[in-house]
Amino acid sequence: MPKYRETALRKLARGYKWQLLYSRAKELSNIRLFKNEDNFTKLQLHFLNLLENISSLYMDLAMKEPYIDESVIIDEIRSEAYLFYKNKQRDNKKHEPIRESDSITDIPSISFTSRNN
Amino acid sequence: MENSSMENREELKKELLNNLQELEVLEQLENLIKDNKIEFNVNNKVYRVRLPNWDETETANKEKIRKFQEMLEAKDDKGKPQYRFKEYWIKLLKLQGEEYDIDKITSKINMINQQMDNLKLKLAQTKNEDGITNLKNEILQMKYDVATLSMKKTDLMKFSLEDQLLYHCNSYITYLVLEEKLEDKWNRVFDNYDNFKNSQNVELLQKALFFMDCLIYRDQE
Repeated sequence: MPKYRETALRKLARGYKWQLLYSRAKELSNIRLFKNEDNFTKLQLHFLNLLENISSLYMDLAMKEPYIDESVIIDEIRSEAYLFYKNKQRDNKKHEPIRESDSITDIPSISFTSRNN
Repeated sequence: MENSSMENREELKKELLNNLQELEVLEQLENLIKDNKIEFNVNNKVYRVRLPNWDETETANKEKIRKFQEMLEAKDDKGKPQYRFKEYWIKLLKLQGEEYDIDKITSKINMINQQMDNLKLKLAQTKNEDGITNLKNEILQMKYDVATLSMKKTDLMKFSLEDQLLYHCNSYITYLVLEEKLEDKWNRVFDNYDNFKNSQNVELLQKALFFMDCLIYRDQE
């Protein structure tokens, strides 16, 4: 049975230092995560992806979303499962009908109210 | 009493060592991501690899075209093409049995990935500890199976023209961007590609190729 171990890169991305730098870099233009401003490497792109994913997990935790807690964020497999579930939920919502349309004209229903009411 | 305090000290020492080793790994990793250049040491000399500039990318592209043509025209002793495309190898391997059927291996990988997706949805919504542990173990096993099958597929296809060309291009780009630090200046290590290929400094070449793999992003990844 293969043993679970969090990758070192993810551990780095999950750490307080990089999460703080990432959130500040998004707000302040004079904070750079890397020495280079463009021409990003494979490892840098992968690391950015990890930072973004973990940051979104912490945001969901702060917003008290269902199925998320600290133990999920620490666990790479559980985090992956949670993000996959969230994406699925988002995809399912996209295919929901927005609102019913008028049966004759196909124009979405609009209700008019008079000023006197 | 004395024994148990000795044991505790040993355990603390082990824990401290593990933590220090972990910190060292994280520090080394930070060095790899902080820039689009990676420095490393071999025999007390400082080298680096970096992403190729526009000129170097053009040069590498021309070399790729040249090498592709050379491989297409290369013939073996019997006058048959020396290098074959993936399609040829897939057909040939199919004749060796189901175990070497690339299409079947790919289907198996896709099937396991689909099963993994279903388990991930369950795991995301499971709260009880036993359920979480069992699902995690199942997913871990599936990840291991996918990795094993993918490695097998890569191994079987490594002699294809496409993979051999890719290997040559990666190696050529590494030759172009491998530099040594001499008196605060960075200079290309090898004058030409033949010198790079024939170098006896195996450690240098291995490290350079390894770090180049961390730098270059390929669309198929």
